[in-house]
Amino acid sequence: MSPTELLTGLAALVLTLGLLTYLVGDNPLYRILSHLFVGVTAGYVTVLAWYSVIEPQLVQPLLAGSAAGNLRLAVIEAIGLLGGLFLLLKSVHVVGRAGTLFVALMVGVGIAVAVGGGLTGTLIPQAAATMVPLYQLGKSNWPELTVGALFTIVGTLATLGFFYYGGRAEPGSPAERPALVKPVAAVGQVFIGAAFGMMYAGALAASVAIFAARLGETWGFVSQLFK
Amino acid sequence: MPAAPVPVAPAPQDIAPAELPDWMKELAPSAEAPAAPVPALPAAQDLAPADLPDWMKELAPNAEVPAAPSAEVPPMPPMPVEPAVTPAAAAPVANYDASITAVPAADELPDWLKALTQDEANAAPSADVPAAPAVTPVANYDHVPPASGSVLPMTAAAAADELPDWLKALTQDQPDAAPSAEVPPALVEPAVTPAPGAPVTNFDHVPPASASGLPVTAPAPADELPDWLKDMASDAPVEPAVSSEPVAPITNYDYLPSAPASGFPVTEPAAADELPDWLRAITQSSDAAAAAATTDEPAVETPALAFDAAADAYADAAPDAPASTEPEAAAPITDDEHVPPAPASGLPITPRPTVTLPPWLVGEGTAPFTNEDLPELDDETLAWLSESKKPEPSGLDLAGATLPAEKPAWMDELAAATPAAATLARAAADQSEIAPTPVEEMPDWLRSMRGQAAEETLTTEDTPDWLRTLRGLPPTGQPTPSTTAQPGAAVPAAGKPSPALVPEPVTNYKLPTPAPSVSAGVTETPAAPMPSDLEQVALPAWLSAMRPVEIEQPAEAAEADTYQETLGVLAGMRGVLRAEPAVALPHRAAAPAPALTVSETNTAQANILSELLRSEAVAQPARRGRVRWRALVERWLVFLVLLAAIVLAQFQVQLGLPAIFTTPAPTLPPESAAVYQLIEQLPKDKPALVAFDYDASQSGELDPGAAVVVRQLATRGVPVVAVSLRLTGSGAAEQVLSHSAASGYVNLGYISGGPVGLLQFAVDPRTAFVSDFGGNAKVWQTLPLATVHSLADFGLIVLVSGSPESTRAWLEQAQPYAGDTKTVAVISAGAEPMVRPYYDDPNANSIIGGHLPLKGLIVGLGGAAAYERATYAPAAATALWPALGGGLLAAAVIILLGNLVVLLAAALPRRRKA
Repeated sequence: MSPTELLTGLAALVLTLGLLTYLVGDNPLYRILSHLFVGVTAGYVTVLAWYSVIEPQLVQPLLAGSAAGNLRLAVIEAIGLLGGLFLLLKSVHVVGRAGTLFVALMVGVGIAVAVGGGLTGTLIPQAAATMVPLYQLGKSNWPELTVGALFTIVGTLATLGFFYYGGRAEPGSPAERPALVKPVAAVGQVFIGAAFGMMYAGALAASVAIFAARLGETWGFVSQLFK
Repeated sequence: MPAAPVPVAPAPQDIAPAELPDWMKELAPSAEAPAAPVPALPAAQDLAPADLPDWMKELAPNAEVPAAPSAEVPPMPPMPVEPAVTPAAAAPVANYDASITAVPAADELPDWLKALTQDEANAAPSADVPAAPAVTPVANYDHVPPASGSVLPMTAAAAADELPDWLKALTQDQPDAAPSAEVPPALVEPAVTPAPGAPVTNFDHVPPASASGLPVTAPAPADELPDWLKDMASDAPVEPAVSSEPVAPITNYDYLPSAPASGFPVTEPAAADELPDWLRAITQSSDAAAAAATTDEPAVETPALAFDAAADAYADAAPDAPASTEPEAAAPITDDEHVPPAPASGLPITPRPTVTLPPWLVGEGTAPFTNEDLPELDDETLAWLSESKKPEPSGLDLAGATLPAEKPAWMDELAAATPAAATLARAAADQSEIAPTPVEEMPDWLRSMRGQAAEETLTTEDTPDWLRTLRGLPPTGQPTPSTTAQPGAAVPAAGKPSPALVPEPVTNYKLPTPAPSVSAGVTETPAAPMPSDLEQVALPAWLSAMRPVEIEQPAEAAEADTYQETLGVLAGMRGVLRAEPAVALPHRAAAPAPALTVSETNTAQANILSELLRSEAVAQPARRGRVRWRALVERWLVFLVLLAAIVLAQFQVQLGLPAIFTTPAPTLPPESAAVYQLIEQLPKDKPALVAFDYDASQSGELDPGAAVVVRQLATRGVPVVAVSLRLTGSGAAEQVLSHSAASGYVNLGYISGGPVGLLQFAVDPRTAFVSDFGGNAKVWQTLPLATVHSLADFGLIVLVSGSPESTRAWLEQAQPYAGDTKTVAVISAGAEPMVRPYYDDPNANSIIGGHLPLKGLIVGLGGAAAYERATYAPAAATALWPALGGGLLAAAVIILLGNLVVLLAAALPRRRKA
């Protein structure tokens, strides 16, 4: 075991056990380790941002463009630099409004890109995926396919019916859905509950996997340390 | 006053042009051009009887009835006061000239006037007067209404100090050569008796210029004359001071104006046989009157005053009243055929009510009128009056009038303006061209003809019958209560054409401004009392209910939009609808906003929300005791169960426990098998793009899956190019690649900008990265990336995502630019529900089957373990497989037990209560 692996192994063991102290409640060690993780992550992100974004994508092109006489590249990078500065000074009241233009630019462009991609990559394909035939001739497993198609159709329509917000509120009573929508919404609620259960199970499985992986690494380091 | 109201000249604007008489049509053009000179009317001799209007033609029979004044005759408008110029026999002037200048003989003057004349007898005429006023003795001058009218009856006791101020001012302004300071020269000159055969008739038809006390018989000096009078004086030929030539009888046409240059209408004397009967009778009577005037008769009261008083008395007298007992007291009238004797008919003469005059008016030579002034009435007149059963209130009855307390200002203004007017008249006389008459100097009748507003409002009673017929009104054949005094209108005498018959001669000279006293006299006259038989009854209820209410409401003035557009193509137009107030200017909404109704439920819910927010803001003391220990126990219990399950499962073999969690299944799920098959089919010359979109917190779950894929790629000899949408993902990628990518790899690092940067990378990967994660700027010249210029140049896209957002970003933004490059994903178990819909299941029956972007899928640590077994490369996932299984089993058990405990805890209290 190299010293580096030993130090990193020891640090990982201490930090893991220190976070597990939360089992006895909120304690200073847990808070110190929490702040340590936040600080290390911030520092790591800053360094990565400089070396991955700022330096290679802003400083180098600006210097290279100016040196090479590429005015277009220099202007574009200068605008990026100016925008970055205004965003950095967004918290300052005097020049804060100057960064609003760049924020608006970023938000507008981001929304435009997201909406366009959402239409072509999610909404239309997902809507088309729910259009399944109920009965397919020529296939041996048509009963299975038919049941699956029914689940797809009923689940989709019932889920949409659950989000029907056309209920009317009578004086002195809460708002209720129309009579025709009520049973549909009830079925949709079942499908939604199943979906949330799957998500919770997946999250729980992921957590258990991470926990198991962490225990495995700790056990491996300890076994190697005392081997 | 006559029984019938004196008609007033109709307003020409009320009559259609076709309905106008010819002579009036000729005047019509002047109405359209007020400033233009008034065209002269044709000479009287040129007017044939056929050219006369019908109403004139009808005057003859009416004139034959002495006691029935024509009600159709329009009134005589205010006539100009002419200088006392006696027309020669060869050139008889219009009778109005003589009527104004006619001065009775000295023996016919009233006492007060006599006194004045005696005081001024020796005074010479004014030098300013071009010629001595020729006074033609008028036989029937008594027909002329008194200058003062009945309102200001002059008495014989009037002294010089009783003269009105204006008269005093006029006389005092006279030069020393003036005959008198108070009496005009015309009054001083002795009356020259004309020849008996040349009486001047009809001049008495002309009303005086003023009826409010203005002595129209007094010729004023030239400098005091008004403009119009000066014009006439200057244009008129100078006649001898005294004319003894017999005056030709003036026919009824002589009042018609001619068009001489001088402006004097001159008529030729008509032959006696050419005259109509009624006019001949008038002429004869006038001759007789003229002859009688020359006789030596005792001086009597002013006949004009007497006649006026008699006329007023007739109007006031009731038919059944006893006759006046003092008819003889009235002064004898020379032309007795025109003055009906009052006592013969037995008509009583009711004393006029005494009018309380203001001091300024009383002191000007006025005194209450007495019955002694009444003339004698003949039988014919009395018979005519007896036919009139209804009493007529006198238009001059000022019993209820309210006279001004002070002398009107116009009287002073008139006196002050006279010299200036004379100067102007002299200057105007020198001009060859006569200036148009100013509008303010025109009489009302001329204003009416020209469409201008008259000073007086024509009453219905004053409308002649021919005009009333045109207007659809009943004729005024029966006497109606006269409410308006017409001082300027002469009382039509019997046997003579009414002065109203005499139209105004329209000449080029300036017309006099109507005396203000005319209108003043009208306004000061009280309204006539309602006849007793015409009681105003109340409408029945049913009729009142039917009466439209809108009639009672005053008409609202029409709104006139005077806005003028200043912009656009409508600039300069008025009445344009403006869009600015409705569009640009702020205003209230037309439809009121519905009021917010808050029910009790809403109030309760709002209170709950407010209570929650309030409780969150207040610091709560730390919970201690059982609740704290309960949570701590639950936490430790879950932890210990999971830890025990993981440890027992992981060391199940070492601990001698039954192997519950052996190895993963040898068969891969379809989505993982698709990944395996795609990697196995990749060409070696194309690098595989692996996106490490997770950080260190998810590396325990995703590193085994990423590592197994990278190892397979390395086994296949496919170079790996790593990118990341997370800033810390590059580190995780570096850690995986450094251990698994034996075939070489390039870690480009972080794709900044989120979806936008991802789109840029998908479009042009070379512009998104100028260097790799290690700072190598020549990354695009190296082998894995030397052939890559777009996303389609990669052999496979592997998305290792810990969240569904990263996977969806790739599928939405980059997949359209991937071309035929397939995309597979290694995702966390928690992201599976959101990513699986993008998986293109070959067994699905959707209509877009085969077109979904995700072709393979490896889910979580279990999928990685299965993939390792399928690739025959067991690694970390396979090693953690028992621990994962034990942990998931323990979690499931905890969830079940927890729900059972909750159900039991909920059921126990109910049983206890039951």
